[in-house]
Amino acid sequence: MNKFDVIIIGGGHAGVEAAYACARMGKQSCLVTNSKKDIGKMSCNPAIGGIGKSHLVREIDAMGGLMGIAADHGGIHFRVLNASKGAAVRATRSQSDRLLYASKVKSIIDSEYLLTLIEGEVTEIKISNNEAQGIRLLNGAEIDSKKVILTAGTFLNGKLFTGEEKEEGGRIGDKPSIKLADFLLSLDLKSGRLKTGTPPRIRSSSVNWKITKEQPGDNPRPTMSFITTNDVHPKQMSCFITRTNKETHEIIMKGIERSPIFSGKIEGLGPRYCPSIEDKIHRFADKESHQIFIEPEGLTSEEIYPNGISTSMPKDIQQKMVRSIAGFENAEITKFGYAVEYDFFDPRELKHTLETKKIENLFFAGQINGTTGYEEAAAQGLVAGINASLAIDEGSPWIPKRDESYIGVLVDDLVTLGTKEPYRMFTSRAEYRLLLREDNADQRLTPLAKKFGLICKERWTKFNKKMDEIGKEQERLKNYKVSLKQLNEMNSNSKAKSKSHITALDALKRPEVSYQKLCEALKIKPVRDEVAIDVVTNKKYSGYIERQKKEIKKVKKNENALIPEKINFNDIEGLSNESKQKLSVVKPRTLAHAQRIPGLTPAAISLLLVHIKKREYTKNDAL
Amino acid sequence: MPHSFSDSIVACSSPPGTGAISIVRVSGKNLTLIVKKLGVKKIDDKTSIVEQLQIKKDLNEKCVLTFFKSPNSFTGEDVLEINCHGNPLIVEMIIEKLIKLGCRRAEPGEFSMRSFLNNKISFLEAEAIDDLINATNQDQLLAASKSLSGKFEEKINEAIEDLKKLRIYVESNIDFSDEQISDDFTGFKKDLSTFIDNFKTFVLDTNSSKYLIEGVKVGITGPPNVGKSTLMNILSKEKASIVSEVHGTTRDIILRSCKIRDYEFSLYDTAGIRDQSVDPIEREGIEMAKSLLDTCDVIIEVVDPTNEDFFVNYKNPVIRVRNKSDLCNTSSKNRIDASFNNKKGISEIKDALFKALNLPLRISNISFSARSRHAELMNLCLNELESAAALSHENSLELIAENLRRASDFIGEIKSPYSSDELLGEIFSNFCIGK
Ligand SMILES: Nc1nc2c(ncn2[C@@H]2O[C@H](COP(=O)(O)OP(=O)(O)OP(=O)(O)O)[C@@H](O)[C@H]2O)c(=O)[nH]1
Ligand SMILES: [Mg+2]
Repeated sequence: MNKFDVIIIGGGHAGVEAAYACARMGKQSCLVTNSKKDIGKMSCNPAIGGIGKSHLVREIDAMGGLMGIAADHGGIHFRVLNASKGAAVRATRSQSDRLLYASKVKSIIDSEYLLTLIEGEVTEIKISNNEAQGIRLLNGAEIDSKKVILTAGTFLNGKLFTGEEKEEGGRIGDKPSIKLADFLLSLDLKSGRLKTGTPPRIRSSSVNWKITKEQPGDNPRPTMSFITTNDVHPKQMSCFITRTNKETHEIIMKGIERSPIFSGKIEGLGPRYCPSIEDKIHRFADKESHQIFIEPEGLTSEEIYPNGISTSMPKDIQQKMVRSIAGFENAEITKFGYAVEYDFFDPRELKHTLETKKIENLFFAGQINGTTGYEEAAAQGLVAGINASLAIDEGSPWIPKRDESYIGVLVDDLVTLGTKEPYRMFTSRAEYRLLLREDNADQRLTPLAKKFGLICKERWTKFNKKMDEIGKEQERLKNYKVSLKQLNEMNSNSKAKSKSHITALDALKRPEVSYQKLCEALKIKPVRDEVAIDVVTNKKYSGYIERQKKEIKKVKKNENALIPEKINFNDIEGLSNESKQKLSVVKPRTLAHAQRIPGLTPAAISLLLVHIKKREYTKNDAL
Repeated sequence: MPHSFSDSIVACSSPPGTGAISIVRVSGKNLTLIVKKLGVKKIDDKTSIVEQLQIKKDLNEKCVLTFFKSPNSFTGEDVLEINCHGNPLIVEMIIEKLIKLGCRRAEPGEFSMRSFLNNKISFLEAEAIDDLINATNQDQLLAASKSLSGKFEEKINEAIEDLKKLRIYVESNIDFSDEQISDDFTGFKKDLSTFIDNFKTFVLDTNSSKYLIEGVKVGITGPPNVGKSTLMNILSKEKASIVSEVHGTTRDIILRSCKIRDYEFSLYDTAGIRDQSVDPIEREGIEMAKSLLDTCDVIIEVVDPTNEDFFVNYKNPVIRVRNKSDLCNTSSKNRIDASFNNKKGISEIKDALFKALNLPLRISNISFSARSRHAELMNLCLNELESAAALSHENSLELIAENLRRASDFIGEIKSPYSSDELLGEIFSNFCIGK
């Protein structure tokens, strides 16, 4: 019988990130997957990044994770979204060749000598005394470990819908692991049902490209990872844009009763933010047209992914609808779109470390916790992997903070709020958005990753060099004076009227002064973008950043107000049963945490507070 | 000592002193036992009975008892109200009797606090109740009762909703920029400025309502011997401060209240400001005066023809006056010309006070009661909105979003100010005992 430090079940995006983190932290790790071919597989649209999500990728990368690096090696199309807006909300998005992406993931996993890869179907997690101790495989073999991280959650008890047709099973072509699903459902964990959908896939040779609009990738081409350069990118491809029209909408409206969502066949709640095309047409009835991004699925793939028309309409309607769209007149559908309904476990039964509250040493990460998206899954894998490893070393856990990372926002949202629809990251979920930029993910997390032993020397050197250059550039700009005249020359409607001379660094605070123009006016050589963006943004945001920091301090007080672990929420006087229940599910660690529980009235928070104070009071009295 | 909620509390909830009837109120989780021990055989929910209560060995008092069973009472607990003859001695005896039976004296505002904690009233309602209790004139009473019926909360909710719509535009433009849901930035700017215009009116109403409820704090300052005390006496129609030709007559802070038009004003006469005073007592007075001015809603700065270049910058709005115009024949350029001895300039000063505070001359349709707490938060909210409006370019959308987020936090805090325990206790402890 083998004994590992950590067993990771599932080789998806959460699984590989978790396993890789454990191995880097020196843990004997074992990654168990149904098939080695599934490692790093992109089961849906092969895109990494995008608004909110790219922040997660950069953070995973800043902690030495593999997602950003793989996305650079597999990326065939790169674009910065929100490029015209400020640095905090700019987001890099990449389109991958799924084969290249998966093979990079596989090679990174293979290169970790502490990491063992096993092919097999897990049927059971060995649990004794509410402690996970290992796993059991279909062939009867048992593997023991100190910690188990479960990431195999793709479409538990999945039901696929295409119009009136219904099919049991996970992703089309995947065999669902029914035994494990049944086992998990027997664990007395709270579960719920969610729904998501995919668009039909189209043979690329059947698209009339001429009447679509080409959207080439950005030039210069951004990278997803901090330590790669864009010469690792393979050959690049363009995306294309087309739109739905009146006819498309009519076809859908006519057949809407035959859609499983509208006919009530699907119980799970779908995401509000990337709704199916029938949802969109139904909800935004006055919109005459919706945009569709035609995205390549890979360099050698025959298929394209029409992003924006996910649907579960019957096949005949899908066919008609697709062919009504410009460029798709003769389109050949290779796979029809479908909706899938599946189980997830209530993440409020997890600690901030992603360990389950009920079963010690068992961690959950990924879609099983109600999230959607590779990035969200990977981020959780990282958190679970790090915390499993820290726990083995008996170190204090890593609880990523909301003011430190999107990873912190993700974890805190999940364990506090739970979710009613597939959870996806957005920048608007982060109240400290201005502090959490893509470009400063390294500053926020790399020093911490260094402490955990998660990063290589190369990254640390590169990081320090960048910090050094930022410091130098700030010093340099402080030593240049800019005159009022120069400022006005940079912008004709500038209203500069204060002191006649300010430092070049302070000049950057003005919205109309760009770094480029400043360097030109001073006739100095600009530093590289990566350095300049930090210097400029910190200056432009300075007032706002100071205020956010003050806010953080204020919240910190309540964040430090610990709720005793042994508290019984049912003992709180005056609290309604509903509030007691909410508190008992989430088991908040701190007062601030309790304040974030939705539906908990301020009065309930006050009662909780009084209760804690009283406990302290009687305790001190007893002394 | 933190409040406990398991015990029963008692207090006199009618005004202290002698009156026709006094009311003693008791609230607790379960009052059955206490009622029984009082000698009452049976009392039903929401009924009143007349009962001889033995409050001292040889003293019986005929009382009217009314019982409200939890949760259908003001506090949400069992409540017993005892009406007795309005004699403070009798009231005290009844309270002492109840304490013997296991009650404790209520802290200020504890009834309201329990009511709030049991979700019987919202925070704004608790404040309105307090305003209603403390109203000393009809206008205040009317305003408070409108607030209690939810007028203020309604307006706050409206503003919150409008603000939410603006935020949805901004946030979806950031998070869904590729989906072209709404990209009409000019339209957004227009909506924002319309909202700000409406909100400003609301802020003004809140301010005047605050002054109606809390009164206006006016500080009178200036160099020595210019006529500050004379002005104080004229406005308060009293001989409150000593007037003399000696420099440095006033040293302590003198407070008088007076009614100007429909509002209550608190006037503070202070020591004359001069730098080279050697008298330590006078200097102490000057320091006190300076720090008082920071807490005033408005300041009247008086000078006379001998020191016209006296000028100080203040944090708060200021009305600058030159007194003793009878002693010179030039008129002042930027100050109100006055001669207090001849009652000249007084009505101009009154007008200026109303203008500086943005107060309507008469209370016509005040539709709610408000407090400094509300006004402060609304002003903070307005500042954020104005900063957002000043960002004219779409490339600052994330900063606009941040301003709007803070704006909505501030206005939200009006409804739920319980970010910390101290604040909660502080607010309720300003309430009266027995309420
Ligand atoms: N001629 C003239 N004298 C005035 C007028 N108003 C006040 N005085 C006189 O000015 C002197 C000072 O008046 P106060 O009111 O005591 O002055 P104050 O500013 O309070 O002085 P301190 O308390 O010493 O700072 C008194 O003798 C008043 O009678 C005015 O309008 N004309
Ligand atoms: Mg005086």
